[in-house]
Amino acid sequence: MKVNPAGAGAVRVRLTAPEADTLASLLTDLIAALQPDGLDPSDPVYRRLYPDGYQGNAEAADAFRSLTESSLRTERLERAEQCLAGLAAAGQSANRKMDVTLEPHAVERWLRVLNDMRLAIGTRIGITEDDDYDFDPNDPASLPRSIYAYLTGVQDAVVRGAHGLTSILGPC
Amino acid sequence: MAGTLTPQREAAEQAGSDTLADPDRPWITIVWNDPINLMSYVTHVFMTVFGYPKPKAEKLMLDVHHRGRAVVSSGTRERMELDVATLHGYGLWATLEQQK
Repeated sequence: MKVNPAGAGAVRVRLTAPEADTLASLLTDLIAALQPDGLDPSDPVYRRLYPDGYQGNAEAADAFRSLTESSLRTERLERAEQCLAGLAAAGQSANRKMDVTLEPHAVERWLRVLNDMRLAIGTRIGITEDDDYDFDPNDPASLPRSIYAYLTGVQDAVVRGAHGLTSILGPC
Repeated sequence: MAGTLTPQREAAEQAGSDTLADPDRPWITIVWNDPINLMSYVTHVFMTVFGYPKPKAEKLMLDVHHRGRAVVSSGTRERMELDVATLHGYGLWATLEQQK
């Protein structure tokens, strides 16, 4: 993947076909988790996606949650669906690479969706502050960690692109 | 979204059960450190949501990172509930409370 600034907060992204397939598959998983009964309220991923708005005040936290949770879920679902549709519409060139220009509103949408995916996967695999990303990429058991590390790189590259910096992540 | 997200009656009850209620004490929005949100992204969110210039957004982000939390906005309870809901929409771990 390569991310270039395209002026005024827009970015140009070059993806390989396997990268696009991976992102589409992760978006599909996220969309499933964001369905009304997609996550159990006792699930740590649910607690991370819909955190308390008040600390040490369960009553206020519950009231806040009852008024915000549904719209938060809908907002997440809509943007994930829009990103998936955008990816499908981007098509592919003959060399199995995809060039996508993201306008500022699409940059915002992707940044937030990438963050939603990282929150879900990172919470699931128990990412900690001093994680050293030390894993064997060839071990099938470390696939979620590889995916998390990849999404982290992509999100950072898109933020940097929106602020005028170029990033290259692996072959592109 | 109009008015507060918490019913007024409940807000009054909570204030009463707190310390002495001081309606003039402002409410604050706090962002807490977490191991997932990226420093670059958090800075970007502070710039986007609050319109803070980059140096201020970066300072707040570093406060969150090094001190574990930072006050990112203050004002009425209604306004802070809106800020917290907005920050949750960006995936940040935010809460509101009345300033001590």
